[in-house]
Amino acid sequence: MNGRRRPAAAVLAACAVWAQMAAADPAAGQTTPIVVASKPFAESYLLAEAFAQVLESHGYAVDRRPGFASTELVFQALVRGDVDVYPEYTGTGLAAILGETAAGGPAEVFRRVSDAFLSRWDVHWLPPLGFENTYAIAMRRTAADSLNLRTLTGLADAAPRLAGGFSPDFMGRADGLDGLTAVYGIEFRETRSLLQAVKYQALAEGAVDVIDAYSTDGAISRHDLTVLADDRRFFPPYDAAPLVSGDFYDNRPEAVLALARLAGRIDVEAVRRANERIEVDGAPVAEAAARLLADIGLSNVGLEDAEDDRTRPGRSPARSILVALPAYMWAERTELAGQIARHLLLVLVSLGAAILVALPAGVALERRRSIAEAAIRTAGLLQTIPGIALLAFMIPVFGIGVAPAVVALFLYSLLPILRNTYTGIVEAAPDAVSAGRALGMTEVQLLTRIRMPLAAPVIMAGVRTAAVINVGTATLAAFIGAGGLGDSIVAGLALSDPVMILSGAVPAAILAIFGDWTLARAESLVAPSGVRS
Amino acid sequence: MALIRIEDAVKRYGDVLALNNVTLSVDRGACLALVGESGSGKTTLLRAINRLTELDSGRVTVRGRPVGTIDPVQLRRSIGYVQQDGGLIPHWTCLDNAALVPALLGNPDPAERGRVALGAAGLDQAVFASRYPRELSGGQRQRVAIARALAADPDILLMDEPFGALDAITRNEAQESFAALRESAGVTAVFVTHDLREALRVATRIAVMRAGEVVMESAAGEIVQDATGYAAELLEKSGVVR
Repeated sequence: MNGRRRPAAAVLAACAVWAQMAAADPAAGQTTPIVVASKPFAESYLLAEAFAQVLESHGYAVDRRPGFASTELVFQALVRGDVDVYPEYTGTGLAAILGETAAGGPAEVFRRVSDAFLSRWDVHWLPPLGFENTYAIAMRRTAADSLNLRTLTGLADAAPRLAGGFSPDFMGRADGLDGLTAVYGIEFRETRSLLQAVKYQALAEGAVDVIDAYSTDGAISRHDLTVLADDRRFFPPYDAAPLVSGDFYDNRPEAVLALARLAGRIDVEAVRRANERIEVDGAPVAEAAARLLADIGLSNVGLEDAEDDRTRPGRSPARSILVALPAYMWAERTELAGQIARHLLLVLVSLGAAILVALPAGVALERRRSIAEAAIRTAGLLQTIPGIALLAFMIPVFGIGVAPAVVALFLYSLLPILRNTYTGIVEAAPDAVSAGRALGMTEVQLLTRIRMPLAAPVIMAGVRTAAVINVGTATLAAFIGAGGLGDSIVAGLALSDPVMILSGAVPAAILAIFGDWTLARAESLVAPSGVRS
Repeated sequence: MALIRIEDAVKRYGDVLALNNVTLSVDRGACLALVGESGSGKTTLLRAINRLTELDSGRVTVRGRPVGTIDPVQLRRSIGYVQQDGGLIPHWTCLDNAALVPALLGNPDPAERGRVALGAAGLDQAVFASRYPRELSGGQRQRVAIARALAADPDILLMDEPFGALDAITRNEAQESFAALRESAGVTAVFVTHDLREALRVATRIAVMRAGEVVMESAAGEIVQDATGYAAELLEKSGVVR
């Protein structure tokens, strides 16, 4: 027995060693790309791209999923292991994720988030990159000077006469507007929710007087803004660092080491220059990231890619959008074609599934009219959930990417198809149906020969409504890493690049119009001749 | 001999007694009018004959067989039916509508049966065969509905307020041409109407209904002399002079 067992044990042990080596071997990891994500603002794009280029220079395949809608969404995806790494700030981790207030300096905060994230979620903070990007409450220099404002304490007195414009993320966070109000007693005349892309514009044009900025923003100097001092030290330290999932940390140690090489290497000047390249000069993110890595002496990783990128038309204020947009779309045609294909996939799969479910359900409800109202109202309730919220609800169940987006779009499509099928069937010539039954038609014959043909245009109208809603809503799928034309829109919004926004929005609009037109034709074609108007 | 026999028919809708122990029979070749105000139970009684309504108790016999033992779909295909609004299938041509029952019965040439029926109902089939219901007048639609009901040559025809939706002049014409058609086709008919004058013009026998009961039944020619109580009231209301 022993004699036979030993060789088996040896084989098993060898297998185990081999498996361990394989797991640690970077080349073996290439089969599953490392998922690198970001939040929807320029610096987050920049750092995620820098992570991606570092990983690629070490031979890893990378799946880029930039532009997650919010901290909550991207962190949830990281905890689930759908995302391997994204750039985060210690202060955000402390205040927005842990819901705690700052206790001590940067080192204490880093220690606190490291311990808490590891024990609660098995998520690891890699060593900080070397710069801090704190919230900066900013005003036009002229306005600050005329009010003689230098500090947030001073702002509290002037605030009732001022309008604030803040990013949605800032307005909803404990270390954001709520905390500011609590600590400084700052109450504005009005506050508006403004996207990153329009905030500086709105401030420059006087639509708002105070905004939340990031201390490393290139736009602060460009727009000649004054940053008010946080004299009561309300904002915690915001050291940037790679945040990685436990799975990634345990199974890809070489990749983790590659990212850890960035620790302490990126100073605030370097990142500010890189942000400026993106936000002011309109350089592609890939190029700015490659230069950042070159600036800090991390070889020439990604520079070859960047050379390619440099041939792309950058953002140029002098050029009219009408000229820049076609040129940009032509240069990005491969990328855009992929986004359109992904967009169509999201729309068609969800729509097809909704037809398969809602059509038979609508027909069945005709025979159970007592519950029809309740069923349709339930489907209607789903439709009242805002798109981005519905997508967020999907993440705990389906993770990120195509699956949750398709499910969310499917749920959105149910109501128009269900309601129109039910209404179409119920209202399809009830007297002809009763006469047909009295003359000996079976229920199946009544359905297939009277009700369905008469209801077909109404059902098709429901499908048409669902399709148009889906084409629009699918652009939000980019916020949960599902791709599609929303990728360009979200990135364009984050980088304040109208050409990039339009390169996603225009094809999406064309898809919606084309889909509507096609289905309108189908609608009139399926109308039976005797009742066609 | 009774072609249709109704015995002790009872039907309730919740608290409402729609039929209260109704017993009635219709002889072959007769045309029975069920007359009464709305809610008197006449339509419920009519629909019990081809099982569109199932009785709570009692029995309906057609051609000597209890209808409960006959498959409802087969039973209905063997009995013509016309309803107030015609109930034509809107996306079918008149000919397709007229040929419905022969087609359901698997007749080898339903279109031919449909054409014959349209002609018998006084419609030039060359003109009307390819038309859709919405292209017809109310009177023409009702003729197509009658043609559809008779296309498979049923021996029984049920009609629910068949002329109710027509204007006065069209109604008179329709009643007369129907009476002639029925007689030549030799079909036994039961029809529901709230109009005693119509019943007198078209029917051979009249049953007056009130609150789920038949309060009087007699030959059409004798009802004016025989009527007492509620039936007499109804005659007076209808403007039929005693």
